[in-house]
Amino acid sequence: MFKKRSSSFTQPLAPIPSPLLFLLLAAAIVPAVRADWFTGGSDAQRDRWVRTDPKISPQSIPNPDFHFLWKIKLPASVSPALLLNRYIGYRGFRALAFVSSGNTIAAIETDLGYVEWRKTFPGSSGCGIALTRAASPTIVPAPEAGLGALRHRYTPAVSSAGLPDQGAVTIAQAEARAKLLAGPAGRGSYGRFRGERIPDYIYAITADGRFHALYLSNGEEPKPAVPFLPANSAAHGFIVVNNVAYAASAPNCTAAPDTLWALDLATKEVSKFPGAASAPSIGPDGTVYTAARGKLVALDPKTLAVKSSYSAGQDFATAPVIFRDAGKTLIAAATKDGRLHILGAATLDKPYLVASLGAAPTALATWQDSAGARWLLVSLPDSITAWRLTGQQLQRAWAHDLPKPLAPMIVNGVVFAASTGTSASPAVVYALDGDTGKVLWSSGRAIAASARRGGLSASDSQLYLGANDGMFYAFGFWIERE
Amino acid sequence: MRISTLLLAGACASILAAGADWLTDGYNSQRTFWQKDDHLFTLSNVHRTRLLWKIHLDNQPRQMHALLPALVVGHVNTEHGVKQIVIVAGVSDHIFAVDAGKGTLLWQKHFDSSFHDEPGARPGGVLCPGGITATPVIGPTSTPGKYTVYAASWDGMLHQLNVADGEDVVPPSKFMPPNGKPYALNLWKNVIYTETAQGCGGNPNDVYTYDLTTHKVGSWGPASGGMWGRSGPAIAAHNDTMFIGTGDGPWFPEEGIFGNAIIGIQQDPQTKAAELSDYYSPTNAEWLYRRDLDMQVTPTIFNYKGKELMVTAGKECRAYLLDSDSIGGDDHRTPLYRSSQLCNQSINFASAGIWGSMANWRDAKGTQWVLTPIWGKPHSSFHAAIEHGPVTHGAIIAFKVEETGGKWKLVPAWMSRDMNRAEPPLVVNGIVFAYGNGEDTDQAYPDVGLEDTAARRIPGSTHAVLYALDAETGKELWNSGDQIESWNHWSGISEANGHVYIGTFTSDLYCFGIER
Repeated sequence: MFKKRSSSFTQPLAPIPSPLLFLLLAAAIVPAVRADWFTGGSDAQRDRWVRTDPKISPQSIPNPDFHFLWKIKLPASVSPALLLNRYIGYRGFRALAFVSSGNTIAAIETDLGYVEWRKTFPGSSGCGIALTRAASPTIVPAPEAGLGALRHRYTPAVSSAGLPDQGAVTIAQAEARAKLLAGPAGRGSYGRFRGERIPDYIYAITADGRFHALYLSNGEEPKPAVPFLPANSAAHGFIVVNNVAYAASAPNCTAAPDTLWALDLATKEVSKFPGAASAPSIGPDGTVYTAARGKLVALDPKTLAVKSSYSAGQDFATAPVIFRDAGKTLIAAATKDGRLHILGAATLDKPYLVASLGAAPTALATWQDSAGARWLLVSLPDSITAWRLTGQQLQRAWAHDLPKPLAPMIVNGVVFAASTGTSASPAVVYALDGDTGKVLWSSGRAIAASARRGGLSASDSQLYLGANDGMFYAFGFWIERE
Repeated sequence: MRISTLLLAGACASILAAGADWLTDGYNSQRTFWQKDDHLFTLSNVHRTRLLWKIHLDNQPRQMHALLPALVVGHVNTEHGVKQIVIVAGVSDHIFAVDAGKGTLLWQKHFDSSFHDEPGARPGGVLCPGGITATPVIGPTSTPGKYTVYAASWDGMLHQLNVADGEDVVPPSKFMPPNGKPYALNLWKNVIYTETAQGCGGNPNDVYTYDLTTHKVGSWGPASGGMWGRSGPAIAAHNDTMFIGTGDGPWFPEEGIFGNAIIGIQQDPQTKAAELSDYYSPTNAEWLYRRDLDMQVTPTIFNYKGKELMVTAGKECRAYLLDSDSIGGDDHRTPLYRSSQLCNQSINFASAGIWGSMANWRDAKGTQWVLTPIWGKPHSSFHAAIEHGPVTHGAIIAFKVEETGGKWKLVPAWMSRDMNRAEPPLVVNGIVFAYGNGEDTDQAYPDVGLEDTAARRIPGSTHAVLYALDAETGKELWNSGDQIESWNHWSGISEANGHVYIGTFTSDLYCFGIER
């Protein structure tokens, strides 16, 4: 008896696609980019931009299913979170947020909101613990137009029947695939290849200035910590790229760094660049960019020797951000006099563009919309402003009033911004349409304290903010788990 | 007269003694794992079970695969007389036939595959071992005492061999792409059903049907991460629908994507294409996908209270009771019953959950039972009416199927003693045979995370232990102790005519039974 209940999605006797078409179809299915938040500012370029997301978009928010999810109390004010959204560990698949709170590192399981592991270091918390994961200097390209919210990489199921004695239709597809792969049938497609695995770590700098490498899975340290920064210095822009760790140190936990340090993880040799005044950003070729005494400098990644520099004539107020536009690698940084400087990485001494922002900035972010337009977001003392870069022209598109905003971030075309808040007026997170600045959502009264030390981060449809009272908050789309 | 009467009785007894078969993985097309035709084992004699024989087969393991579950034909006419023959597939493209009474090799066949390991090519892995991965299936022919083994070789060809001598009945025929990973073949109304998983060989994960009359192969897919029910698909008899879980993947049915689902497939009677006829996915499918908690267990199907029902499960460690006429209801999200978590409280993707296949049987009082293996500790909130000590590594859980006023449920009746990775059990004459396979099932480690390699897992594997339990209480009646010297991976047990068979990684086939 043959009885179909529904078949609208099956295609009986689908024609066998030509081999080339088959491969083109396969290549066109862009892998869903579930980006992690590796370090401060998201990545080595510090752009604070999550390029795609399966659920968050200007069209999907507001949505009653997007809301406060959970919060966890930690011992002290909470650092911005680093995010690992798919870790296959010995305890299972996990999505983890790594934060520091006092002299404790906590790995928080972000699907269910509990502490997976914590590690407390002896002694005083000093300036707090800096965290990072290894980041890539490669600038991830912007997603193609229309694929910003691609959810998966699977093709629809089809129903077929082969000819008598010819086997399944998939045999011809396998033969065509093998030929196109330019090898005997089966070569390169033997099955899954797993090369030797190497550990992946969360890296930390503790109050004594020592560099630690901890297993992501459980916080254990297989090797002793090594000296890196002076003790009791705040570590700004801590990052690991190409097996070198970088951080700008500020004595006595101030916000103003004065030295950039590099630790070669293979040799354990430490280099320094005195006078660095910002967190470092890393270019696609590994060049380290930082602000230093009114200049933007490009440094050798190992020795920190100056390769080139640009003199702004004013101290910089923000760390540099790096992006691609019109085929060029550009670097943007803002000075305390309220000017934005955009430079070409290849021609650092000649400014690409200098524009007035109207006020002294505190942070930058940048993203590219689905139409290919480049945007820069600037945190000013009492607002978030959005600027569109067209060629060598910068035009302000919108502004959203927000007292003492934290650095904004962008998730699939949605700008998330948060007020730092005070004890009397706690922090609030807003979701803004990236094109227009229209308010799509706010966290309302979900957050109960200020977020002065905190910072926004996001991955896989959830965003996070740590507050000064030690509470760590998660917002996102609810999914059924039971 | 007295002597001839005795001789006649002996002859009848020996014929009856060999009257049971185990022709397919899971005993029958419904994967009941319930041997109905054998009464040699009893609750009163099973404690005398002993190792009758062991034979080493000329098979080379691939990754962690070695021998697939044995099949048994109780009564085969051979040129040397009537024999009870055990058929075992070895992963290295071998089929072996063993005399069930003597434990001696009758014949073996190696498939001359058109697919070979390429020098310098990427190696396979635990999930893609290459070789034969599908338990064959045996079908009777129109000649009494003559049977055909249907087997899929590494190169994707379908072979049909005479059980009596291993000779090809017909030349091998094209079936599936080479180097895929099909699972246990199911033969139903002259059509062979199977499904593939893991994308081995770069192949899509498809359902395949081989129509033995027209020689046409139907397919349906791809199905996300793949369909890897241990005992292949199960088939509902009244509507000729094969059911299988689709493993890990997103669930977007409106786009034709059916991850973490149970699907029903029917063969189009005209075109012979394999077509989707029904589907069900739990409402927490997105969560299952996030945590790699595949719906990957072969369902077990049975008739009860006028319905043809099935029970299936997944790595999340819940059991689902479904109506084969409408497995998910109108919204495809509503089963007859969905249990709470039985195990896997830590939400792990390995070494926990329900893996493999389930079993079912009906006792003399008419109570319908369902059995499932679990890996790891039971959930802290799970309790059965009868328990046999703390469980750490795995166990068998037995349910009674109950229906009151149209509401169905699975009531936990008993949980067995601890077993080192409990595997799909079978039932014979009120006895549950189960085993712990002794396999190291860990796939990830604190330092490197995921690293699922044979090199790490084989050293940590120990040995299998076979158990006999009272099917109504779970009480242990016997176990094999240290007699089975090795472990197995992705295999199973089978029973016929007072013999229980289990194969190991060392390519040894063990036969346990009652000495008569």
